[in-house]
Amino acid sequence: MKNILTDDFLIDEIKNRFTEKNNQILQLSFELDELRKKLFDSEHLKTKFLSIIRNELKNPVSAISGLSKLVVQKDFDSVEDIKKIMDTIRLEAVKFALQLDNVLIASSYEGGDNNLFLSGFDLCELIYEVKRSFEDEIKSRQKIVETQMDHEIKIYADREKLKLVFKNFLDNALKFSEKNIKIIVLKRKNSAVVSFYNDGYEIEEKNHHRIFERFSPLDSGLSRKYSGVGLGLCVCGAIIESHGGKTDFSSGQGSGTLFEIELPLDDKSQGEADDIESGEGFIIL
Amino acid sequence: MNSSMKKILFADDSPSMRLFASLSLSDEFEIDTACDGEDALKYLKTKDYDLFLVDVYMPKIDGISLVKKIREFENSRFKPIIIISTEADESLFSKGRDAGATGWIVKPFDKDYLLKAVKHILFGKGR
Amino acid sequence: MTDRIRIYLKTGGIVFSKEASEIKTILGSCVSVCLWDFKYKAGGMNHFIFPTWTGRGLATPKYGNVAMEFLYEKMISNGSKPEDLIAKVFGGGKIFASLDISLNPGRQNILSAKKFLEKVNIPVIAEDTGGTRGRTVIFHTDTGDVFVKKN
Repeated sequence: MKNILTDDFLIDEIKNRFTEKNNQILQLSFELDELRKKLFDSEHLKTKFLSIIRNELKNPVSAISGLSKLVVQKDFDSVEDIKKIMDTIRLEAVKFALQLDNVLIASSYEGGDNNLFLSGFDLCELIYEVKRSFEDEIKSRQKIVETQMDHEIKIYADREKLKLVFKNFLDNALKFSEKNIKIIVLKRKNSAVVSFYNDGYEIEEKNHHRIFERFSPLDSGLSRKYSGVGLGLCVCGAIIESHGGKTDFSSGQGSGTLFEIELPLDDKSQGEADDIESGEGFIIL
Repeated sequence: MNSSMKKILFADDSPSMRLFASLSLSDEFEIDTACDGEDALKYLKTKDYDLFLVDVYMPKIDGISLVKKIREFENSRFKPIIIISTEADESLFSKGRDAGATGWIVKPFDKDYLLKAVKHILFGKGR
Repeated sequence: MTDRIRIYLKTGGIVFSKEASEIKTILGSCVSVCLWDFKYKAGGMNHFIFPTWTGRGLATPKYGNVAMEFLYEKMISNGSKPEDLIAKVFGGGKIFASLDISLNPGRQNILSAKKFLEKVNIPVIAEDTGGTRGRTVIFHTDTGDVFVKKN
């Protein structure tokens, strides 16, 4: 048998392994650097995120505390005046609740908790429910919200998360419309399309691509043309995406703003028809 | 309306804040509230105000831009402008200062604080 | 009974449900632990990729120790008592046959899960782990049943 374990051979082998290890170390240090950059970026985003959250939550809270203190301190001519203020406080609390939901969902998505709790329900009924919950706000802002939809559209989705999505879109529409808002729900092949139209202030062309971007307070934060949009719409984007849906939007040319949300009616996330009922191949533990 | 009362313009996109400012200040001042920068400019053209309170984050025209615009008007070139924000942000305040603001206050604040700040600006300390 | 809520658990995720739910996930070398409160009939599940978070990057439930901690905390904070909990462990297969035995992440993941469960005194009453094939796992949170199929 030929003896191949010569000294030269061993030295070569060691050299090769050394080079290989060296390469691995270089690769690791490159990956470490990438990770460091990612962490830095995410820290930076986090600070921006925190400052937006601070505004979204602090504003209603300061209004509520200021107004309620006033009710205690000031003398009022009639109970009606007090009731008016209490009602304003209530509306601020509702605003706060919506932003809080946005913050909670956004941070749970951050933490990897992006599970969908799926069930079958009527999409039209959900939209009516959302509109009803905004009735007071609609009246106080003196806006008109028209709905146009089929009798019933059955969808298989996460009802609570979609409710939050529609609440956010209606909230935005109310803020930025001049007077008229329209909600249209249609079936298009195997999807449902929900559109929110408002006749109000338009989003500049240059910002169109940023509308769903995470915490993109348009125009670098100060000119918050869409106060609240930084968090609200981005949460909506994430929820719609995890349902396998998509959004589209158009604005400009003096014709208001239109947001379109397309949602698949079937549940695609289940993948194969892997029913336990068929019993094939499953063991129960 | 007592014409010798000082006139204040308060700009904030929150209806609650406008209500709050109005209730806090209307006993001693003539106060108008604007819902955004555009609205504020409309008011500016109709009256000579003695003091401006401007919220930083507003749609259409933001607070800092509004400060600049107020300074462009002959009648309000030297009137006090206070900016209002939810955070004590140094860079924000220097932006405000550069735009021509006189000072700032940070939310949340109550009626007493608001009154004190307004009186301090308009009448000086101790009066 | 009304239909169970269907949930698809993604890699690195954690889910907990008080309402009757059917949680499904697909495992390779990843491990899923189903925790079931047999008193409240509520359950939770995780799906992690790596055994332990050692400080590099963010501590997310992709890592076993984090995933176990989070899942346990979730159940406790929702009112479950540790003594009412049981665990079932799945996955940890050796999917890439050419891998060196010492680099078997599947095995490391199983150990990470069991180490935690031992620490908090939760018994593992069922498991289907190891091997060389992936698994589809379906957990019914009202009955505690888990359906497993090798892929």
